[in-house]
Parts: sequence; C-alpha cells; structure tokens
Amino acid sequence: MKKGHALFLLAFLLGMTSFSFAQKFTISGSITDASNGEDLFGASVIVKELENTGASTNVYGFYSLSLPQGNYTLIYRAQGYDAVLKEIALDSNLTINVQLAVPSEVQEMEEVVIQAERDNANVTGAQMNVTTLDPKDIETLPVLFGEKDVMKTLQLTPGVKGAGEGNAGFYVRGGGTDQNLILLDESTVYNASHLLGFFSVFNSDAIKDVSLYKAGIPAKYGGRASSVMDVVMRDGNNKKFQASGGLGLISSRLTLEAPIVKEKGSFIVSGRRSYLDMFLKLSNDPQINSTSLYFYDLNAKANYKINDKNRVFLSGYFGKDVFGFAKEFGFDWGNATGTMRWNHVVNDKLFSNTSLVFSNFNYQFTIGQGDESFGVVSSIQDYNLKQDFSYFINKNNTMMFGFNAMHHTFKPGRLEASTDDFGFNQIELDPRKALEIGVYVQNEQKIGNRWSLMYGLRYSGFNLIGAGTAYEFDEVGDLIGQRQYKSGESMAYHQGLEPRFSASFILTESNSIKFGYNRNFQYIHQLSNATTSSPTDVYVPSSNNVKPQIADQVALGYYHNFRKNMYQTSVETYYKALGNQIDYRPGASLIFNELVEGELVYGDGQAYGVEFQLKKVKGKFTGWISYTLSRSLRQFDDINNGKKFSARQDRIHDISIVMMYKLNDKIALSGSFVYYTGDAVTFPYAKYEIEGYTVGYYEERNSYRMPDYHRLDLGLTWYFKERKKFDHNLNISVYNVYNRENAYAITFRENADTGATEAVQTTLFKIVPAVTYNFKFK
Amino acid sequence: MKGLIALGGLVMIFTSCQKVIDVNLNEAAPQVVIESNYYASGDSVVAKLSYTSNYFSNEDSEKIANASVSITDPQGVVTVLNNAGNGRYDLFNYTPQFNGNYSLEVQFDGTTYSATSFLNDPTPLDSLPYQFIPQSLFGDSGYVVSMAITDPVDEANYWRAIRISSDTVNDHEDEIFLFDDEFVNGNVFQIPFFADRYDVGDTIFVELRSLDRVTYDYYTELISVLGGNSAAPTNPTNNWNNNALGYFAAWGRDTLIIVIEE
Repeated sequence: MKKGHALFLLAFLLGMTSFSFAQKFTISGSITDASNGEDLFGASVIVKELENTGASTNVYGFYSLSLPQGNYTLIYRAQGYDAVLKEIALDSNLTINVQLAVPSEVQEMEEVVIQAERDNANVTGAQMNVTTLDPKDIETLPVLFGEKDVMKTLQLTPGVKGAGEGNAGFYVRGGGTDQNLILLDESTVYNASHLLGFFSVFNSDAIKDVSLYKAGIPAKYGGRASSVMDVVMRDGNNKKFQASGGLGLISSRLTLEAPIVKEKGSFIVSGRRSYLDMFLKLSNDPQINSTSLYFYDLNAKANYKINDKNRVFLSGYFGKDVFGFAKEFGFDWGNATGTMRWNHVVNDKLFSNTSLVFSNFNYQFTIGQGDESFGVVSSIQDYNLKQDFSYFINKNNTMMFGFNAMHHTFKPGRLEASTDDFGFNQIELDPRKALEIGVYVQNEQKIGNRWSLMYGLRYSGFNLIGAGTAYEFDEVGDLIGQRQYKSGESMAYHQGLEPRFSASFILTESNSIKFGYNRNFQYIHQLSNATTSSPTDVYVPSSNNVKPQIADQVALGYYHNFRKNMYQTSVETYYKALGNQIDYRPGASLIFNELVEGELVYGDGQAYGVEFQLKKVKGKFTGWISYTLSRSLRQFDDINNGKKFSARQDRIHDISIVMMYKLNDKIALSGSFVYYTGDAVTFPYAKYEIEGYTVGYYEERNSYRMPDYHRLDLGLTWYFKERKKFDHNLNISVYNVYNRENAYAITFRENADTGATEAVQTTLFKIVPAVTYNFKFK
Repeated sequence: MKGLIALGGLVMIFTSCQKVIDVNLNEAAPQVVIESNYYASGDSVVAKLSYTSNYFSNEDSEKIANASVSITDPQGVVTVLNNAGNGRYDLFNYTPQFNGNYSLEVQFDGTTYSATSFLNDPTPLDSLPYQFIPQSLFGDSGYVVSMAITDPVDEANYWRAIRISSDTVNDHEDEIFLFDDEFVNGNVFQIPFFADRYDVGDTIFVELRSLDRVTYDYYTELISVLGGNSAAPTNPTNNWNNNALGYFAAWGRDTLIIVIEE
C-alpha cells in the first residue's frame, strides 16, 4: 500500500493552509444543555465578524477555535436551542463554557429535528451517509408492542433494512448482519437484540443519540465491513433529580438521574424488564405456566468533572434474555459492557480521550436439572484500550488520531454433563484468543467556502494467539493436517491499510455534492446457515484458514434543501465490493464443531444501489419518504456451480414512509409504512423420494423470492396537561393496521392426511395494538 | 436448537398463524433418481430408478423400467440385477466380501451412471444395556436403552442405528439416527436412545449399520435438507456421476433384540 503517499498528502494539505502571520489566540470550552447539563455534540460556535469561520463540538461537547487578536461576537447555537451571544476581546487564550437553553415557550417548529445539527449541515458537512437519531424525535412513532426503539427506526432510513420480523440485526447497503459494528459507549455489542430480534437491547430512555455511518466511515472506527452504529448513552441530569418511565404491554421501564455534585457530576440508571411470561402463568397447562420468558436490561452511567480540564465517566450495560421451558430446558443469553473514560483537555487545542472498555456476550443452555443435566456454555469477551486525540489545528483543520488494542477471547462452546450415565464425553472446544489493533489519523479540512474534506488512514492488524490448534483442510473440507501452538505464540497474523475519504463541494448554501470512499477490514465473522438468526450463531476469528473480509465502497451523493431548510432531499449512489465472504458447505454443522473452519467456503460479493430521500424537518408535519433501488450479489466457486446469485438481503425495491403530525398541544399522530421486495430464497424445483421421505430437488441458490413485504403502523400520543413537576402521556399504537399476513417463513411439507406436498407460510404478527403510558417527574 | 424453536413458538402463540399458500415453482427437466442399497448382511441388492416429479404433483413419480443394472464386486466380477418391474431391480443370495469396494452401474437411454461404495466390516453391537430413569428430566419415567459398542481402533467409523419396538410410541423405524466415532475413537462407549422410554415387557430390536463415509455424509446432508431450516438447501452430495440423485450404499449390520425386565 501507498502509505508514504498518504502521509505526504496529509502533510501537504495541512501545510497548505496552516501558515499565517498574525498572532492567534484560541477559544475553547464546552457547550452543554442548560436544563440537564448533557454535552451537546455537533453544537456550533460562529464568528459574526468573519465569514465562514466557526467550530463545532466533538462527541464530548468540547470545541476549540483559533482567531487572530481582535474583538468578536461569538454565536453559540445548536438546533432546538436558543442561541447565545458572547462579545469578547481576544488578546489571550480563553476558556468559555456555554450552556444553551431550550426556548421557554414550546416551539413546535423544532420538535422533530436531527439533534443539534445546523439547519443545513446535511448539505455542508463533509461527512456523507451518516444518519443520526435522537430518541426524543421518534417517541411518537408507532412500533411493535409500543416499545420505542432507535434501531427499528433506523431501519426506516434509506440503505438500512431490517432482517425481518423475528430476526435480529439489519443489513446496510447489501452487507450482512454481522458486518455492522454496534457500539454502546465505545463498547462492542455482539448481539443487539432481545427476544430473537423483536426488540433491540437499546433502551431509548438511556440513550442520547445514535449515529449510523453507511459510507465514508471515519478512520477512528474499524473492525466491520459495512457500517458503524455508534450509540451514546446519556450522562444524566447534573442539575436536579429526575425520574421518568413507562408502563407498556410487554415491558416497563424506569430511569433515575441526579447530580452527584451539582453542575459537576451526575449519574443515570435506567432499567427495563419485560413480563411476557406473566401471561403464561395464566395458562392451565403446567408446561406453559412453568415456562419463563423475559428479558431485562440495565444501563448505568456516571460522570464527574474534576475541573475544566479533566472529566471522568463510568458507564455500563447489562442485559439478559431468559427462557425456561417447564423444568426441562433453560436458555439464556446476554451482553455486558463497561466503559471507563477520561476526557482530558491537554491544552486549548488538543483534546484527549482515554477509554478502557470491556465487553462480554455469552449464552448457555441447560437440559435437565440437578444431578442429571447437561449444558452448553459459550462466550466472547473483549478488553479494549483506546486513546483518541482531537487536535484543533486551526479554523480549517481538525485532526483526529489515536490507537486502540483489543483483546478477544472466544469460547465457542463447552459441553458440561453432570453425569456420565449417558456416555457423553465432556468436551470443550478450543478457546481462541486474538489481539486486534488499530492506529489511525484523520483530518477534516475546509478549503475556501466550497470544499470540505475528510481524509484519513487506518492501519489494522489481527493476531491470533495460541495456545491452540491450527487445522489444515483440503479443497473438500477434510482435515489433512494440524499444528499445535504454544501459549502466546502467533497462530496467524492479518493486517491491512484502510483509507477513508469524504469530500463535499458546496454549490450553493442549499446544494452540495459529496463523494466518499472507504475500505474496511473485518477480522471476526459470524456463522449462520439457518433461515433465522439466533443467539447461538457462532463467531470465528480470522485464522490460517479464514481470511479477513474486505469491503471497498465508493459513494456519490447530491443534497438539496429548500424552503429555508424545511425540506431536505438527497440522492446517493454506491458501489460496494466485498472480498473473502463466507458461506457454507452443504449440510455444514456450525454449532459445537471443532473443525468448523472446514465447513466454510469463500467468495466475493458486490452491492450497488441508489437511494432517494425527501425529508421534512420543520413544522407541525414532519417525516420522510425514502426509496432504495439496490442489488446485493454473491459469487462462490463452490456454490451454485460458481454462478452469481442473490444474497438473501437482495431486496431490489425498498420504500419507507414516516410521518409525524402534531395536531395540537395534546395530540400527536404518527404513521409509518414499509414496502420491500421479498428476500431471495431457495425453493425446490421438483421432488423425489428417498426411503419414503419426500425430498426437494434444488437447482439454483436463492432463485426464488419471498412474497413482497409491506405494512402500515399508526400511532397516537396524548399529552396530558403539563404540570410544573410532572409530565405524562399515553401512546396508543397499532402495528400492521391492515392486517397484512407477511411471510416469516415458507416451508414445504407433505400433508399428513392427504399425502400431497404443499407450501406453508408462517406469519408472525398480524394486527397488534399496544398502549404505553409514559411519565416524568421533573 | 429445539429449544430455540420452542422459544420462537412461544413468542408466536400470541399472534402467529400458518396457512397453506400457492407458490409458483419453476418447471425443471426431470432428473434421474437412483436409490440403491447392497444389504450385505442380507445378501441382497435393490435399486429403485425413477424421475423427479413436479413438486406439487399428486401422482406417483415416473419409474425407469428399461434400464440395465449391474453390480461389480471387489474382484471385478460383474453381476446383473433382475428387472423386477416398476423401476425396481434386485439381486438375491449375493454373498458379501467385506472391506472392499462395490460399484453399481445403471444404463439406459444411452447414459451410464455409476457409483462406488466401500463395504465395511460391520461393527458388532456388544449389548443393549438399559436403565430406569425417573420422571422429570427428559420426559416421563421409564427405561432408556443404550447401544454398547466397542469402537474399532485406527479407523473412522460411521453408523446408522435403526430401532423397532413392540411399543408403537417409541417405534422409530424411519428415523435417520446417525453417529460417528469422532469423540470416542477406540473407546468402549454407549449411545442412548435418548428420547425413548420403555416399560417392562417391551421388546426392542436394534440394527446397527456400518456405513462408509460417503453414505454417512449423504444422510447428514439429507437430514439438513429435510429439516427445512437451512437457508440454502442443496441436493445432498452423493456418489453418482452424471448428476443422478439418490445414492448407492453398501453396508453390513449387526442386530440385537432385548426384552425389558424388571
């Protein structure tokens, strides 16, 4: 790779604009929300006297701006807040911390906005293809069982597609569900769903915002091929105690937040538990009423500002799904994450963030109980040390650089039997350990009034570490050799350079063109060959057999706002090439298989498409319409006779319509509609008999389609009269209003009575009404 | 995986439904299906020849009655099977030579299909120990029967077990029950018929078939296709050339029969 070239280019571009003769001083500080002290990410400071000069806050609310000596009027602003003006005489470096307040009279105009964005930031920013959501903005949207869910709402935006009812995960621009990096306060979340995908693990009450990067992914992110979903937890109110919560059909939640030391530190604790199984208790059937089926999760975060230069954070998530069938069978899985973070203002231009991150995902199932039981336990555990710097070089350049080192431990499975009566050998599959590292540098640069650039480079490396056994397989997947590695020995090393680039060219204040390119490496892979995804899907690290997945994407977009930025439109096209994609040999056994790597085959993929969106962001009526035309194809030498075939998520047409209408102070109405081409599936072409079984005859992979999916949801939120200390509302939603029987699965079987072969469609959700009551003590 | 399906099922009880639908399946040219076994312990060879049929057809598949079928033993001696009509070809009193390759050759309409299977020495069933299991765990109380097997050292073994019982509830004649010696190589080990519960007085007949690798893999993939949960079902890999479906398997067996006593 041309590493030298890129560095030279970087130095050149920086040097080109950074020399200046006048003496300069720096203004830096934080911008926060006046009501609760939460950091505002993307808030801006603009210099009234100078055209096109300003800065915006990083994810921790920190900004820095360098100006020549002089008198200035600074305008601090963020979408949804009143602007604050500061007049300054700049003759030395200054620290200015600003609190922005929500306008006193409720301004409906700003009710639904993308948080803290400048009105036309979608047009003028260099970053393309990023979707940011604030849970507040979507609280009125109708959702299944009334559980508001940022992940489900993101799936209504262009290029993002849910994996379908009853399936965890989502697809971004034709990539697989395991190609999305999901971060919660910097910690990897391996399984982001509860109840097999009906809900996400993200409790909206505890979340500040969610950003989804589809292309031009910033260099600080790495490890997945297709996208990054970055979820940031709220810091908690640092001014006063506040309690809020909700009662729903399926679950209830409660959030408490308060200052630790007023204006200096705060905490938030948010919990949620479902009680679906309470209904099962009503059953007379002892098998059903002794069944447990629930999930819970707990988000907690605390932060403390030691002084203007140092702030520490501690955040954690713990969630679990528990399922027990009578006393015979137990199955539970969950994530736990923890993040320790230190923000340090090194000087007025250099901001540092150091994080120590822990993440764990595990599942286990147990059959039987007590003396006569056996069970399987499996887990993935990560420790990650991260160091990130933001260097505010000058008003046109902001540089980010840093590194991280993440240690993975994969425990694919341990079978434990409490008795050997049944002749089971107690077996543990070899654990795998790996060190994944990343080093990056990136610069955001403005050139003149028209160009914004973001260019960066990431180096990533993945070292599979012994002790362990490396297996060698022949071309049909049979074991032909193996080698034992000692503890600490490197079993395989993979590495790559990942260039990232975004550019925007502003045609006018309300028109721009953006271009992006990114290369991403992915070193760990999720294996699943069933029609439905499950928590037991196996993760394998790259090894001597499994090569890292590589994604190269180019994207081009045109953005246009009109009616004073009330309407935003965009057209984006992309082409993505995927290398080293994984599929499976026929009849592959993926679970509890020491030689699972022998079951894998490798090929390539390509995805391309065009996405249109029209969005109304202001006024009583807001929402968007998006349409995506796309393909996602795969090609494997060992599959489908080497011919190209549709990936399961090859949904050619995809339409989402989201509408929110604020009727008056009391009532908000909402609706969403989705339509997409049915998933590509493999169906039989004919049948024959073997030993009396009817067996399907197959010709081509994924050559059929599921029926097209479409669904309309409607919601109504009733706001009760607001009191000084108390605020509450009632949300009524109807999922699948016109009772469409969407296909979850189509299976083929022999009718037991007639002996005829028939196709059977399973539908998970017909019409589902729900009621949720939300409250807030202020 | 069963538990997962049960879990899915529980979620579904609230609103889910199933219905029979019409699916337009593509028409495929009929493919040749050859299902054939050399039952070495019974000295007989049977081959059934047919074509695939339209998936939703209710008629019997079209049989191939004009073929000539022959088997070749490890010494290269060719014996022709009798055409028994209706696509069936058979041969009786055909004495096995264990530890050798047998080939079946099928000719019709100018195409020759052939497949080879290795006839292993049948692994003996040492005994059928059984044990009373109280209620609560994996079902009701009752006797669980296991197969005690001494795994032959230094070779990979693949088995299929068939059990037939006087108790119709536990009669699993057509279940494809497969296991190999991956984790037990060289050991004396027991494999239980885990889900079955027998009472005193029940008679259980167990047949242990010793398969070759190719047949074992065929059945493994067949189970995965029949299971219906595979995202990408394919035709099971088999030992026929010229894209014929089905398989040819040569195998021997050992059998035991017990009556459960108190």
